[in-house]
Amino acid sequence: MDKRIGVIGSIVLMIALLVSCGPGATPAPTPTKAPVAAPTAAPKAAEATPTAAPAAKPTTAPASQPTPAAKAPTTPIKIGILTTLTGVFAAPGADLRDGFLLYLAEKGNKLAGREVQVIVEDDEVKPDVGLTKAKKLVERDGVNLVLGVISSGVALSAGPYLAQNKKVFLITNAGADDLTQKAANPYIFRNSFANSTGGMVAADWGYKQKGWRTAVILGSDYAAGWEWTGGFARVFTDLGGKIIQELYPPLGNPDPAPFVSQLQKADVTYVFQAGADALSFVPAYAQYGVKARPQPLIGNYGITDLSILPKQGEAALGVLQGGPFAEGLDTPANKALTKAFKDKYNRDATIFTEPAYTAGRMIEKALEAVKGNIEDTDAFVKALETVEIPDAPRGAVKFDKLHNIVSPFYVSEVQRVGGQVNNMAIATYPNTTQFFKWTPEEWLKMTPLSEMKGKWVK
Amino acid sequence: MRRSFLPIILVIAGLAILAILPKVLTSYYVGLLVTVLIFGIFALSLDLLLGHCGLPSLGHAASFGTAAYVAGFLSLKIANNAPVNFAAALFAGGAVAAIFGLLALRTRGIYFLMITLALSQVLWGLAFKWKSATGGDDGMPGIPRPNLSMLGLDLTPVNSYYYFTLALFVLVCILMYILIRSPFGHSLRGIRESESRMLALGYNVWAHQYVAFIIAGLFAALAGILYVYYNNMVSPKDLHLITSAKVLLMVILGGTGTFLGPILGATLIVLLENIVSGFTERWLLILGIIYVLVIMLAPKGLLGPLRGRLRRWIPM
Amino acid sequence: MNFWILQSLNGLSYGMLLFLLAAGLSLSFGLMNIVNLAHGSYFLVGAYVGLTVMERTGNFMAAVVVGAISVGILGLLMQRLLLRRLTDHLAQVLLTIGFLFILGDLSLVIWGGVPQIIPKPPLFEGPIRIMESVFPSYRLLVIGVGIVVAIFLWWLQDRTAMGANVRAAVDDEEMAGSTGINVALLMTVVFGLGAAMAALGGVVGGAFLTIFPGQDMDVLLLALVVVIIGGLGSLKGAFVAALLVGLLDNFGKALFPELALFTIFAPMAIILAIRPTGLFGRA
Repeated sequence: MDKRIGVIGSIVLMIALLVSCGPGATPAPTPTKAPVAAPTAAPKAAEATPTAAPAAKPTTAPASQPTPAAKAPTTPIKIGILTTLTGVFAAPGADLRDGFLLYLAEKGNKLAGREVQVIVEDDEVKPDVGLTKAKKLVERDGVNLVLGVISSGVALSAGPYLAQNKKVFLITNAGADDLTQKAANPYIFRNSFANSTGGMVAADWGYKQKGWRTAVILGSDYAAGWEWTGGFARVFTDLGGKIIQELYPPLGNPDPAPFVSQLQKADVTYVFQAGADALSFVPAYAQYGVKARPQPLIGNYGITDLSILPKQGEAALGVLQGGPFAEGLDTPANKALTKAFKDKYNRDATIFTEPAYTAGRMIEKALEAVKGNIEDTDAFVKALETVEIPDAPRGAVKFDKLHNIVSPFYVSEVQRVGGQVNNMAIATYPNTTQFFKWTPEEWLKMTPLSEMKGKWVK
Repeated sequence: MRRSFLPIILVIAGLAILAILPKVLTSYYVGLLVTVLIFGIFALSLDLLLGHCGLPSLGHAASFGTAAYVAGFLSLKIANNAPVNFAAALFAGGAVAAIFGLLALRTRGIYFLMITLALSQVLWGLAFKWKSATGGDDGMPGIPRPNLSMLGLDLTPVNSYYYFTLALFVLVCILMYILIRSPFGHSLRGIRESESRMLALGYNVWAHQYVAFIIAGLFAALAGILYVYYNNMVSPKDLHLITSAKVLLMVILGGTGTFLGPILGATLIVLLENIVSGFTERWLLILGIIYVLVIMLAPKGLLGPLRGRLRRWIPM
Repeated sequence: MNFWILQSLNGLSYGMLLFLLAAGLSLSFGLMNIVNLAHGSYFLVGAYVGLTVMERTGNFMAAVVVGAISVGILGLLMQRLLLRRLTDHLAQVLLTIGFLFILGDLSLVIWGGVPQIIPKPPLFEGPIRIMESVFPSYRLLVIGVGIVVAIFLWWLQDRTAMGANVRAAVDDEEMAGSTGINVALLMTVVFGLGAAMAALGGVVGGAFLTIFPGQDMDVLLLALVVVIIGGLGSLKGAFVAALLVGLLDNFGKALFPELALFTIFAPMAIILAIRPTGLFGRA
């Protein structure tokens, strides 16, 4: 009995120690007042209405931040990385984190003369956990900016909160169209892509260059799946092509058999699959004889991303993708990034690395414009809006009016280059926006692609 | 005399501390406290089943999550009408318990565990797949806090929401205290000790357990409602086996049937989850080790060995 | 016509995999009254071990054997050192949840978060023709493995002394003990065997379902559904239910993809309501 009490006591002690470490370990140097309670609460309208002109209102800096005129504090800049480190997207989440950390390391942990302190949080791919972690980053750690986020669900739950608290939120993966369209916000930026663009590029290229006229689309049954395949279907049908079958396997469906075995004959199959789903889909596409019909397979740039491509074997050769990046891209910056990443982390950089790495450059450039004074959020937002990087690994990038990236898009193909398989670009669409060939006004008038599921087959 | 005054003094002191805490803590920690209180209610409700009836439900998240979804859905998509939404969500959580109770209470022991688990996973599957109503995997973000402006209350600031939660927490504690001291509570524990004896004495065992199951569901529903409004969102995770297991761990860690135990357990687990994950990526490993250590070394909970002494203060 | 044949084969092969996965869970339930929520972790760890062996040796057989044996030993140790000391069902469940977290996180540390797939044995790499259509030969192999394991288990249970002892212990543990059967040892062995079979499923499944963090939870749910439908503790029940769930899941996804999950949850809920002990379970 006594022994038991002793053991219990030691557990209590251990837990108490862990808990008490909490508040003490990272004392926030600037005791930021509770933003929610602040009298100058952010205008709620910002999250409800799609603001066409972001940050147009010259709002004054939050009252709780006594910033001496345009002079940057000497304390470190705090950047929160919200990413996924456990569960099914643990690997992309680590690639994202390390992409940004690599850039910081190259800069000696200093941006625009100020030291940078990074706090990494795991969102577990769960929107509510993501929101809790975003609150922690803002309210406990007092970060100046949050970047990252693999999952759109997390971005959509954390985004409004961060915007309300006037924290710049730079998304480096999550692609839901809404984030920079219906839910666009002065404080939310995205330097990765909007889901639908990759599909639109693939459709345009295939219809014009390959003469495809009929297509089957297959996408994971959630927003990203509907938007990637929807982008393809919108442009393909607009050009005169025909969608003859739509299939939507559940997300996280490792057995593609029920779907692959009923793919109809068409000129092409367009697919959105990610992670483990993509890993098993590509071999199954060959084993069920669809590849040999022949019926080419084109998809999002994650179906054969470099972390899974070597495991997909022969079946992956010749698979096509449309997306904002291809690992085999032949630009000097990409070659440097590929090598530096491999040297530092002893694994290949992936499609999740480049946006996070480039985010470092974009933040640095904006910081230089405001002389390191990130505390003047509105000036920083303005600076970020005008950042242009002509030589990012994926090419020239800048933001559009709704804060989404404008960048080259690529059609790439899995090829064997010098004994190694890689995604090699075979066509380029420079300066591509999320509206593709439409104007923002025309685009925003159309039905959002996430609501078009099941309506493409006429 | 001393014996009867001490607990009252302790309770008042505890309440005073809880009331003052928001004045000295930053909003992040006040938010954590809200979560602690909510899971305290949740754990107390489960302890009614586990500690007082001996019914180990592995699907207690069913009522919690259902109420959360109903409250969230109504507030987001219909109208932010607090009284109606509260009532509807409580009713839904209670109804789930009423249906599940019918099915589960026919069985005992491990079959009870298995059935409660399976039934709650069916609801999880529903929330996960029925995208048009639940938002699927992404859940429903952007749920507004209840609008109590007619009472002159704005629950948007975290401090106000904290006091709102605290008031309900105290209410739950009082109700629970009355319930377990009542003849009904005594009968439940009698049934736990020996069903056959209570049957022989003419008690309707099934009805007692069924009512307790529904009451536990209602309290869990209240916790779910508070949780969804605090987070401004709901997701399938709130219905999942892992959530049910987490509450069980809280109850067992603190000590079943001890009143303070579940609250202590909830406090420790919530703090651990939120704070440890800030230090290490390996927090799931740590959580797993805690499960194993608690079960192997302190199966009666932290308050278990003290129970004899506590019994003098708080009748059980 | 083609559609039905192809989809039936898909469902059968998936069902056979589910049988490998669920048989051990059902057995440990019948014999020990343990709901082992770490059972999915055996599948996952087995798959990862098999992957490592396959990468080192290129021998699929070796991957299967090493994966099954190493996880079998893990199961033996868990049962012998920890689970056996607990008498309370709830404590056992929570302990296995602890292991669900621990094994899942350790796997993430050791094998990383990138989804993996085990290379198939070269003989079963390609497709074969069945009438008009094309079907992966590997999935036929899975069906074969499932049938062989089912026959082996049936033989073990019905035709050997060990099987007789197990049946005696399931029926009445005390009586079996008093006739000189070492029930404790029997339990440990059966638990280890169950873990090894889940691992076997992991290696076989890892070659077409992929392996990824979080899969432990996914397959655990499937195994629970199979065990509940089939009846707790019944091998025959596990076999029938596994095929049923495999077919239901496959046709459900093929015909009503929106209802995936429900085509297997709904039958489970109905069975729970009508017959809580499952199709072949004893009341």
